[in-house]
Amino acid sequence: MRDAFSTLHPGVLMLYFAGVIVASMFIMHPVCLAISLLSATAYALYLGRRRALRFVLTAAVPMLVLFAVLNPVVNHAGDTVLATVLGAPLTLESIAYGLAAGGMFVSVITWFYCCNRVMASDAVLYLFGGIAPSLALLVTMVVRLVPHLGARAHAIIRAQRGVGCDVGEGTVVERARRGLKVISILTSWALESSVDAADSMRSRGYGLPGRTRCAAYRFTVRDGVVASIIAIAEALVLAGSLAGATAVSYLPAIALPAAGAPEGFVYAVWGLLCLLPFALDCWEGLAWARSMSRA
Amino acid sequence: MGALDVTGLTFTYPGCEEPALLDVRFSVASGDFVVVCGRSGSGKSTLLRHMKASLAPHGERAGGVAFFGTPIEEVDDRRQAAEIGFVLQDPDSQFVCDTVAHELAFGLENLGVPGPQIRLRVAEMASFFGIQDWFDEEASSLSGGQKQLVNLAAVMVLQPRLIVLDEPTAQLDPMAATEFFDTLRRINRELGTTVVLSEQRLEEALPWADRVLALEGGRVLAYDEPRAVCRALAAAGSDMFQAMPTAARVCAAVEGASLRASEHVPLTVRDGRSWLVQRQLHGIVEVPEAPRRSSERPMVELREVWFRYEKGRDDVLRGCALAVDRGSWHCIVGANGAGKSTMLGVVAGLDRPYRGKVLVNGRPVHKIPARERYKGLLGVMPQNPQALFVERTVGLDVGEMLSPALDTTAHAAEVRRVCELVEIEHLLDKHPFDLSGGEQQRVALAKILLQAPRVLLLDEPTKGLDAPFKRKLAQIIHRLQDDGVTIIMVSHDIEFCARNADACSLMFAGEIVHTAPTRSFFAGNSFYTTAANRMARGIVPAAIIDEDVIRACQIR
Repeated sequence: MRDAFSTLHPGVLMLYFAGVIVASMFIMHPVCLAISLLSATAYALYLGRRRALRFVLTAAVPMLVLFAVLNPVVNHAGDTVLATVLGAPLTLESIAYGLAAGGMFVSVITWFYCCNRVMASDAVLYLFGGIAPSLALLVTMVVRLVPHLGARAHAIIRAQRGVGCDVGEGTVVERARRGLKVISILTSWALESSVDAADSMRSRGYGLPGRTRCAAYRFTVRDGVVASIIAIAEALVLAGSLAGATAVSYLPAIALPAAGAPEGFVYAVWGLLCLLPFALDCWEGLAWARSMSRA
Repeated sequence: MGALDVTGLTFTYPGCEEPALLDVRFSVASGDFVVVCGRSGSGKSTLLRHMKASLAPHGERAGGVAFFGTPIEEVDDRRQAAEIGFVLQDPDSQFVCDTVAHELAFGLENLGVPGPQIRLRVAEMASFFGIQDWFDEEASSLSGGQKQLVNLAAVMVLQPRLIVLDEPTAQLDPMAATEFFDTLRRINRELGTTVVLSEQRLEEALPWADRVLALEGGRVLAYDEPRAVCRALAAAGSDMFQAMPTAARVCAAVEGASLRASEHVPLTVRDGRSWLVQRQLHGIVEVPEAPRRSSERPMVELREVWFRYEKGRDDVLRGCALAVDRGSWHCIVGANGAGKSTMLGVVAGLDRPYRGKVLVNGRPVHKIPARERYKGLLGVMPQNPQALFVERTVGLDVGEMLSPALDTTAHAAEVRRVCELVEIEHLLDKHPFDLSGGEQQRVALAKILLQAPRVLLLDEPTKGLDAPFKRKLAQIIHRLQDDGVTIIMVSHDIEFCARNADACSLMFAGEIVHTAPTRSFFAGNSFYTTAANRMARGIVPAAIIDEDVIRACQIR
């Protein structure tokens, strides 16, 4: 499924994810962390449905729990002792810090997961291909080669099985010998076809000076509007953080900044930024519905 | 001045005594469609590669090639890349990028065309080829025919004035080949692009060529319009005449020497029919039915076989049932994706059906231990023979199949016997990858025959072979049949099946819908049948190969 957000220009997506991921890494304020973690998880689920749910249940949640449990076990700093376990103090602060660190780590990973879902390899290539066009071509060729070789290896293994040389049968020595045989055939086959590939590339002018790149993406007004919103929100969050709105320390005692109106504004902006993909999708969904009802 | 002027081109590969091309001279007018024919090894590829300097082989050269009046070496690289397109045989290996879109843009990017213009030209070409539906697909998800169309489109976006194609349909099935030819013909007709095409499927390519170049042993045998080339080849008694369209072959055999005088040689099924009607055959000639081999118990039997590759996917075999007689040569024909190769895999015990039974010699195939199954019972020939080649030379490679336990003299004797059987004694010192397709096929066959199989399973063995190689393969298989080997062959090559098989089956949507002795099988089909049958339909009933039609014409 492609949501509205993922149809934006890769540059805008990059601006968004770079900002959100870096901010999630440095802002340890519990409110901001909670916003980041919940929005990232919600967006991952929205994008990936069942596969994302598996990711959340098998990777994200266990990791969060692991951090929360592990930190108090190894870290005994903190003023508020809750209990003494095996002679070591268990402190409220170290539990809180574990949770915060876990939340930070998991939200960053989940944002990366979303980024990966939203930006196809194509889009990434497009962004970095501008810096090194030959590298970009190399990557497309490798992407092409991997399934190609896979299919050939499969055909060879089958053919060898058909003449009684099953790679999965026999003694260890026999298997190793048969495996080597498959690799040797695959290598000669690949070398053989690389001659063709080189001919095909040369005959279409590969290696001539002044190679250009066909841009598969256009930067539209819509991209500009969304990019400005993202940039303004990121700037506000950065300014707020520098001004101390998100400054927090967990050890030895938990110290949160005062909860006033300016701080509230920074959290609200951060929340808006994190929920932007949803907001855009809802907005465009509404716009579509409206256009249909008017027609 | 033509699009291409070849003047006295002689070329010798380094280390070879015999020249690969000898005094080749011809000229291609701009906008012409030229078909180059010749046996494999006749110098077709060598000649075509001289039409593009960046692909020209290294060796000793005399004479030259001129492209629109300029000697080809003097045409600069940028102009050559843009104006001379080259399409190779293997659809896979010349496809360099990951998606269709990237592949189409590749050449234009190399030439430094600005981005917006690339988008326009790619869009234009994708629309012309009708490939916009799979424009964003990845290469690995395309069929061979689709890949080859993309390869052609990727050359056409450069807006070449000449395209050169080296047996582009050799790896394709007949439907995909027809589609490819149609596109090529449209390019020639609607864009006026000059086309030079080397081809084995002359039945289709020859009738609409403007000029045909026949090569034999590196020499030009004939260069003229198709009918004149047919007449010249028939007059010269060249074995290349066997590759000409069926209608022309029948006409030549019947008219004999008078063909030289006759103006109109039929090339298509339609022309062949009207020629046959004009002959006013007296009465209807019955062609006798070939006797069918009979046996008590089938050698291979499939009972209600169901198979799918993955749990969630569709069934590939749906209640497939088949019985193959002991010692017979049984062909399975059918469209792509009908499940033919899958069925072969199931018979070979490489895949196991989830329902139904596969019996080989009366025993369920998966209960036969692998050692016994593949050593002496089943011989499985892969579609690509290269999947079996391990050694540096053919001699070592063939010998590799035998167990080292055998003593050396017996070993050598056995290898010699098999090599003689498949006629590869002269190739023993060569590297397997240096051989032509037909030779590779025979080396792979030799390796399999060393296991002395009683059932031979062949998957598209005639793919990419020229007519004489096909005849040789047929001879070899008939020899095996005489030794009692049962052959099951999956093929798209209807002419080859009609000429050689004892029985044929039509597979459709995972099921065998019809099985019959070869003659009645093809005589009964109206579309899925040979050119000779289509030509003589209603005139000479039950004729399925050209010899049948020729015999009918000679009865007076």
